[in-house]
Amino acid sequence: MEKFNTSAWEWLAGMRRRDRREAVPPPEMTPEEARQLLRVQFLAGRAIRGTIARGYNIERAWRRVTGRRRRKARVWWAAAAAVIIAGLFLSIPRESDDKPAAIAPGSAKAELLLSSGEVISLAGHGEDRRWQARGVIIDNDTVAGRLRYESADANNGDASRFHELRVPRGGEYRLDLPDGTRVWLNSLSSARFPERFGEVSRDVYLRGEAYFEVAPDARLPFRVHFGEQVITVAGTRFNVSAYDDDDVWRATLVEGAIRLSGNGQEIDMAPSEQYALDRRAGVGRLERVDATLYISWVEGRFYFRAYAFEELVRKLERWYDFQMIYLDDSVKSKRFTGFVDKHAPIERALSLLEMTTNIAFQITDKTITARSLK
Amino acid sequence: MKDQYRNDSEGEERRRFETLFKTHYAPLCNYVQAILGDFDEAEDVVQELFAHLWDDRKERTIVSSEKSYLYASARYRALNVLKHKAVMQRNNPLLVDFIESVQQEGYSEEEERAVEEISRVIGELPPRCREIFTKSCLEGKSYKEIADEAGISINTVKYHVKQAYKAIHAVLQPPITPLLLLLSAKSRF
Repeated sequence: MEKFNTSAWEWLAGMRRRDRREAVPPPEMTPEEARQLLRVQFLAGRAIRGTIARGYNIERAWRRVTGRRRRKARVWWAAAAAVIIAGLFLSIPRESDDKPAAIAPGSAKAELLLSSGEVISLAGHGEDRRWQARGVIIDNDTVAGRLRYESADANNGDASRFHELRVPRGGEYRLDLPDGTRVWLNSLSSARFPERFGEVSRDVYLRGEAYFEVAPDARLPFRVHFGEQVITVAGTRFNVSAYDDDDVWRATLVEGAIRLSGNGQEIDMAPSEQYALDRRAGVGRLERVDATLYISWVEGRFYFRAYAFEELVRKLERWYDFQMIYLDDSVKSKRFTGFVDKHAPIERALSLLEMTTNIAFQITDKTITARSLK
Repeated sequence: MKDQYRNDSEGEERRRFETLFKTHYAPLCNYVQAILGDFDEAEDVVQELFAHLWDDRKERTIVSSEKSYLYASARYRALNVLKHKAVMQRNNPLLVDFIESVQQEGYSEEEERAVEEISRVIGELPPRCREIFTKSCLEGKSYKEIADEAGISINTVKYHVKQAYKAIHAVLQPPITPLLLLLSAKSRF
């Protein structure tokens, strides 16, 4: 056999890795060598994986296949195109009469409302922007989905002028504040903040959900306002979920210390603690949780722990931008625990739910119907 | 499928389709999983394939046997998933090109035999060599990572990978005898 190109093998095998960070320059190899090595990797991969098998729930799979076809295949295919480049062969594709990709995962998008009332769209056309307001530089990176405020001088900007970053349904965005604090805003959420932080505190007004990594500054406490609540911190990492249409609001501390005040109460929280406020009952509860799970949405996953189905669906609705219709009210209160990969098509989440519950779904354009199987 | 189902009633047609599905579902999922390395994705691919088959049953004429049609379709779809992943990960275009070329070659008994043969060869490798080769080939780990994990030198890792490669390469090259062909064709599925 010809010489085995050791470094080419290593490099080619490494290409498939998901965690491959930066591009390593390829070693020298001929196209023929590359082809041969890739071929062995492909066939050997099949040979090794072919030795493992698992049991399948064939009845369930059959129900899914037959359920799918009733959904009017066109809609289903359009949605599935997010992961699969549909392979049509030996058949002629039908004329498409529906709109493509009815329900799709969200993406980085937001709009910025300036104190002047001007609204700037921050995503969509991939145009980066950088501008100034009274010495504060505002830099938008559409690829990263990040808006950054920079200020060489703490006196730049006007503390009484507020900007608001608004993330729509199906969006998410990151905001870097001039003090170095980083904020990840989830779908259907907004943060209001001054052009420059004041002399006494750093205040941000939140609606919806955000994860904060607050830059330490002992002199200027950082405060997050949501509803009647205020969280005061020095420098720390935490998540706040406070959607108007959610019954339960949650503040989860990852690291450091925060003080939660509201309704005449003050609660000091320690790392890995979560304060869950039931807004209907008006009672709050402090408990220990695995805090990293509650910030998993920043890294592309939704985590649910004993979530009521209805609550879980609201999270998915915000990100995938659809509306759920319940044919049985009994479905709403079912509890669910698990992960959903945010960037997978909605079908993935639905099939996960179908497999672990007796709920069946049907997709029609931007609407999903849920019913309970008897 | 058209010819077979032409005169059937809807119920009869559905029953036949259900039998086809239930006969081939699990082996097809295993087959696709070997390409994708993920059981859930494999099930998705196979379910989509059947859903598509059912929807388009009136417009489809199958020229080859049902079984080889199913495997060819499943292979094509699985490679689409791989290709899309390679594109999304902004990998080297080499990988995308390679997947496309494999896709164009289509399903063949020869390829299935080659996989069988490689499986046998890998099974016969010394356990240490097999383990190191798997980490390199399947997980794409660097020689250094493997060396650190196993507490051996990088050169030892390279040696094992090369030994495994040589053994596999050897069975890919020579023409396969008709007897072997018959045996592996029988043992498949």
